Amino acid sequence: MLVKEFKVDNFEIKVSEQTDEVKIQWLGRSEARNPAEILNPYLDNIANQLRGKNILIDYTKLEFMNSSTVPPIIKFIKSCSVNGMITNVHYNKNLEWQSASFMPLKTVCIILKNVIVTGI
Amino acid sequence: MINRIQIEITPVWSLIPEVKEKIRNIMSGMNSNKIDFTMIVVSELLENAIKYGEMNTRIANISIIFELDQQMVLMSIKNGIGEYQNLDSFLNTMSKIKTTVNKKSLYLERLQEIMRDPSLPGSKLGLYRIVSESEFDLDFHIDEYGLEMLATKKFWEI
Repeated sequence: MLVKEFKVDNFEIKVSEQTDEVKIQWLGRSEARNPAEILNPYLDNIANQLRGKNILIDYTKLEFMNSSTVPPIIKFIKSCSVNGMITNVHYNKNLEWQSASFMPLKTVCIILKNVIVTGI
Repeated sequence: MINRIQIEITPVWSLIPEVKEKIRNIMSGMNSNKIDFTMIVVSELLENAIKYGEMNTRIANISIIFELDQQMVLMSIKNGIGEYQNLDSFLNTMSKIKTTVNKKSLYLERLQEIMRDPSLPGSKLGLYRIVSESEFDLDFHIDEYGLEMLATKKFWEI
């Protein structure tokens, strides 16, 4: 079963089905000591449940993330690619911290099939 | 005028937002992008101090000094270290940071390692993130009891 909401303290993920894609929106501040412990099982489930669908991973409303949040993000995007999902990743290019964080991510995602990382 | 704050906290994760809020208040009125990058540095250094620091007979808490003046921002975060604590990984990371001109390449290399195997434990990105994304200079002082991390940035660069 696809769990559409994930919330821990000031951090939230919302999943909403649009007409042609499923939007996975990250909101608030990801600052847990071990985000992988809580995020990986949730995101693994999403990557499996949405296999074959088009998805938009939207980070534009993310206010902060610690560096421990980066491996779960990479793991999730890689799983989506491996599962054949057309994956669009959006970040907010007007927020300098987001550009600084997501442009390197865009570089390492170049090797993944079906993944496009865009600053909007 | 120098804006300065000195805080001592017990090494507890839930106190990090409180320290960040105090520093954010000192920076109030500054460009929000500058504040965001500074918050990243505060957060990464405090997280490391709590994760890897060890209490000892002389240092039981984490000391934080934050200074902001017209010319630069400076952060000092000091934590205790254990008598037999292995610091090889930390020293190796700092050596790379000090000897590599293109700091962003260090961050990218680590991201590529994670991409190859995302299940590897620990991100090991924090210090690289400070010098790469936030573009702060990083230095450290170490003795048998404690580790002090120093992060600085010239005001006109941020």
